[in-house]
Amino acid sequence: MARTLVRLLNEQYGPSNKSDKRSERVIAAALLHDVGHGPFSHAFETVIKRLGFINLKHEDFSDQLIRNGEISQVLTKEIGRGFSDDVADIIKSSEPKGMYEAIVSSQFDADRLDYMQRDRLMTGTSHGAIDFIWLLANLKIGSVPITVDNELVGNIDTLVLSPKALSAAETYVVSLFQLYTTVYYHKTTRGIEKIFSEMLFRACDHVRNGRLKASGLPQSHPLVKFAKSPSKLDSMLALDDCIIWGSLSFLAEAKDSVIGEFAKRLRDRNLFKCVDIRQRFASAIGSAKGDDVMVYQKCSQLMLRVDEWKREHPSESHNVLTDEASRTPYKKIEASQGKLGQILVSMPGDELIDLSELSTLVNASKPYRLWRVYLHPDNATVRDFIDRAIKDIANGNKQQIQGQ
Amino acid sequence: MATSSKSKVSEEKFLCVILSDAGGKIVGRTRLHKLTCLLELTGLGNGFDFEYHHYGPYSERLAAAAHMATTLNLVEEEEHQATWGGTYSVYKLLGVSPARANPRRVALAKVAVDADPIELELATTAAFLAKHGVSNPWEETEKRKPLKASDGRLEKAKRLYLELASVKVPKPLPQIV
Repeated sequence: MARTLVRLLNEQYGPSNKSDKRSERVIAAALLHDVGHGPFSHAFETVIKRLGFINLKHEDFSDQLIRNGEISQVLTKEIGRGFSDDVADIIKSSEPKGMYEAIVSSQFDADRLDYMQRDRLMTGTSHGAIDFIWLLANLKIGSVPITVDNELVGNIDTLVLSPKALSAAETYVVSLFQLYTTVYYHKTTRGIEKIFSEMLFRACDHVRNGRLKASGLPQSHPLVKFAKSPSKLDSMLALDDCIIWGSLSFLAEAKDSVIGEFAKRLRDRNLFKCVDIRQRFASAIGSAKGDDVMVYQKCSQLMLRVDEWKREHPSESHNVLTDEASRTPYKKIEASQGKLGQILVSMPGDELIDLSELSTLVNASKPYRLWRVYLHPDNATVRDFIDRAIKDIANGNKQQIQGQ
Repeated sequence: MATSSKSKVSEEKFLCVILSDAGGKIVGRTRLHKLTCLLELTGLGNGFDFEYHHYGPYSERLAAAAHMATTLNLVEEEEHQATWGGTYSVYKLLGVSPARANPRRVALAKVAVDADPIELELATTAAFLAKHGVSNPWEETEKRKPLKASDGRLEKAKRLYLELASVKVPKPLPQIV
């Protein structure tokens, strides 16, 4: 994908002496930017966050791997000294220096154009289709201001669209949004992720606190090494999806019965039951609107009450897993701080207009929010608590629910 | 995304507290996030989790709280025209604060509210990186934000940082200048 975009830019703007080197760096950066992901990517990052390493991200591991590891040695040998640092700098910078760097980070970067097509193919969904060829054919370079609130910092070159691609741009926005609602936020996917992160968090927490037997893991397991030093590159490198799948047989025998139960649930695909809180409140108060303020308010109240209940009932807390997320189809210009985060259309005279100003469809889009709880399928206590809490909040009754 | 168990008041209400302590108004979304991040770093916050995004420390939960607060008419978000052609937000508290003013929060907010937003972003980013174990936070900030850090702004951000660090707070900012 990155090569295609480089070729496209060279065809349109003509390669210069310097462009060969820059495009090489950009292609390497596009290829390597996610090399630091742990097993199961973002789901595992949630575990790292819960262990208290909130800002230990895959980007940091990618950075270390590219600058110092085996990758650096290969790049230095094949291309030259300093190349790996240049590649890492491109990935790290939040201000793409020019049109080639926009291939790594922009509204039409290689990563997004790739995963939108790949995830659709791999999940088999019919949603999320884009007119890829037409979008590429209509990509241009535009000079965009970099800003902080009301202050202008400067201008940089990025990828924009010609007006002929307006409909394709609308489809692109809607398709990406639908990939969230139908794939990334699918209730089963999220339910599995919740069990996965709870199980691994508990196992790592036991290890970190000297309770190895409670985790079920053998001393030499890579997860044990990771739990003891999560920020070490070697600990992360020793983990991959296969290691996690392989650990389920150990975790299933953990002395911590919750880890054991969750490992078996993942292994046997015997998952928690999902309750769509927003849908329940919408139905209870007779609102069909997806963005009803009263529904939002009640969902928010319920989540606070669940948190409270979990604190009051620690032995039951693992039987209720909460999930909240939101996705805005297209953020208005200030919401993403300046034009760099926008899809821009280059009008005659090179004026750059935000897509939301040109498209009624995009302008009318509103955020999607989900509030869900996942419940142990056979636990009447938690089911009754949730049912009563929903009923109570829907009726506006402020009386505390004890839940037992 | 997990609900924070550390919340003392609901997040949208705490946003009202921040706005009240900042004089009832905050200009710009970046400023709101950076000020709230500084409050969390200095022990004056409410449990908002911040992560490093393209624009420095950013909290999804704060963004959601701002949306909820405007939806519930606790806060008004006005859109103003910026000189660069786009718009920027001004957050205004509607009604009264749900909590009494905290003089330390007021003092820190005063510095942040009066600061240049680009310098505030750079200073908060350096503080945030230092807090998360980056040994050379200013160099790292410059690497991540080369354009913003140019034209002497990084030096100005360091001076702003000293001013922010001079406010008496429960948890002092890291000594990085």
